[in-house]
Amino acid sequence: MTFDGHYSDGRTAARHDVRIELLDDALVVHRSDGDPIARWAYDEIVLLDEPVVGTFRIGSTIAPDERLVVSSVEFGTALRARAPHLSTARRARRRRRFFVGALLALAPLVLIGAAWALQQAVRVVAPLVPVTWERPLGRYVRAELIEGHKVCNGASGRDALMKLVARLGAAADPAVRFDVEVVDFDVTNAFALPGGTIIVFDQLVRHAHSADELAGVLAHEMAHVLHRDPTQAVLRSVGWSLMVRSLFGGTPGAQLGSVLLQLANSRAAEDAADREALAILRRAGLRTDGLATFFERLEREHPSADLLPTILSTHPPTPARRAAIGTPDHHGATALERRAWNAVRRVCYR
Amino acid sequence: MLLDGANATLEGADAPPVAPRLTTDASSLRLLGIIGVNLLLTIVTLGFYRFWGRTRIREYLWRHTSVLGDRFEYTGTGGELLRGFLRAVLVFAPLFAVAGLLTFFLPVIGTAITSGIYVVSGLLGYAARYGARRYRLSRTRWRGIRGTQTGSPWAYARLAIWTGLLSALTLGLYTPYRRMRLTAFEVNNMYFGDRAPHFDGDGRDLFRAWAITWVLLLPSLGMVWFWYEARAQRYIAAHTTFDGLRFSFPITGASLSRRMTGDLLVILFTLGAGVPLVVLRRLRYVTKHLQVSGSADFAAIAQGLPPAPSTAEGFLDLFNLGDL
Repeated sequence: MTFDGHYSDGRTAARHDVRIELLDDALVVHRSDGDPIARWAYDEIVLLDEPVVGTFRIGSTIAPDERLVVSSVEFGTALRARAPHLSTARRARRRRRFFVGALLALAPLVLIGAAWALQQAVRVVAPLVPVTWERPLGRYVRAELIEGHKVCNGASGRDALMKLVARLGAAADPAVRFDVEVVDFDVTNAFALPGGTIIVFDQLVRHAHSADELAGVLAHEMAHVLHRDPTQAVLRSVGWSLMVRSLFGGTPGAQLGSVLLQLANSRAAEDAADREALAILRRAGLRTDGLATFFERLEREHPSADLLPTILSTHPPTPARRAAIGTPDHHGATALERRAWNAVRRVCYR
Repeated sequence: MLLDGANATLEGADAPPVAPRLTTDASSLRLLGIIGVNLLLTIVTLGFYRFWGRTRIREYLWRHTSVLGDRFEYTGTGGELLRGFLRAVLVFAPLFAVAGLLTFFLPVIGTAITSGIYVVSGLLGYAARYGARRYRLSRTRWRGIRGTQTGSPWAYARLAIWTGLLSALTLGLYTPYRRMRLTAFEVNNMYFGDRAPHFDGDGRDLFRAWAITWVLLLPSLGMVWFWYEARAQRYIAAHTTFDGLRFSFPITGASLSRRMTGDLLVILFTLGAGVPLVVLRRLRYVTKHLQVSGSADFAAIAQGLPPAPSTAEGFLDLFNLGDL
């Protein structure tokens, strides 16, 4: 059987129009004048590619620079019949394609598995982080979190706030150095940082109808610190960022999502913090219904359509949460007297 | 087949020689399919498939690009890219880890070290880009003949940095000289077989155009840059020869700005995943506008210098400079 094709000998970039003869044991390439110029045994032939259906580019393992191009479907069939390993290669490719498809179907499972593994790793590692490391860690996160926004320092407001924090902190854990900062930012949210610093955005203060509601939020964030949730969140965020970097090749711009979203805690951690918060308020001798009224009103006023992450998006309202904080309790003192509370509300506007 | 000259034989002296035009028959849809599968597999394998994915994309683009009806061939493998990446990680990961820890505990020193690393990697970036070019070219074949990029990546990086400083010191006026010097370094070291193209451009010829651009840049809201860029690319093509071939690339600033705006939109709408589509757009732009005249004696071009590096591109991948 003979076919027409093009041949390059691998020594120069010339292209020769050739006749290809398929013998029993070898493929022979003839020049247009009939002289044979190459002879490839069938088992040394490799199918380099088939760019268009029916166009075959083949090479030889013995002469790796030589190339033969034949545009003929019949040539492919005849060659495969004589060089069966080429068909095996095709079957291997089909098998690989099936394997790839199966892997693709598993993609979501793998991602969920990775997230789960990260969470487990973080749970094991977080308690091992020395307490003395937490404050520098907190400073680092604080800088990222409040970048470009003003820290409010109206003197009388801060004094009143620090008194409240001291009272709650003593009831929470006297060994932790709690600190609170109000940041001028139009988002209703609050965060606990590793080491005991609590960041409250001014809009949350303005949304609070009483000092008891603010005290509830502060106690909740202190509970996170006691449970070392902020440290876990930072480790989780570092872990995710490492994963994303390995995915996309270390792009600095590939850090998807903001620190705000990454500081979100799991629902279980939120429920635990709610219960602990009530205990802290009780030990401090304060009334405990503020947390419940605050969240109920926010849910009513913000039907979850805000673009910016509010406290509801990082603290989603769940039946468990309502069960944890939902028993209004009027016993106990009010967190701040009226004048001090008014000073706190004006901490950003001296 | 693909182009008018597909049936021309180059041995026959009787037939008038056909100028070897570059053509492509790659399909955006097929490419999009490969990108999609690559993306999914990359996610499933937590990133490791990207080396093989990139290789598949190159194989596709190379084999759908041809000259005189003969298609290019990409012979690189994903394993080579992975090894290059791992080599770079081994060097840089400990550096970044130490700098990261220091940033927590000794913010000033840590930040200084981190910025130091970024400066050094900026220098490395040029060498890495050149190394990647060398790797790609060494894995490119046409009619079985290999490409080679000679010249030291470090010499290239030195030239790039040194002329970059000159540009900064002259408030940008040195830029066309810098561009032509770097282009000369790249083109004159780019071998096909045993032969390299020759580029003899000089920044002096572009200085007037650049000076006008420089003055009008702000008043024209940057639009004059496209005019200059088209002119620079026309100039580079006109001053490049390969064997008996001459080139011209008659593009206008308007067509260039349309293409680049399109490129930007593709990148934005695919969140960066569509970079190979942009490469294809550029390839189509070149094949549409590049004109070749004269003839080359391909029978006199021999298989060239010994094959270059076994792995490369590692640093490039680490800093995400690789565009394909």
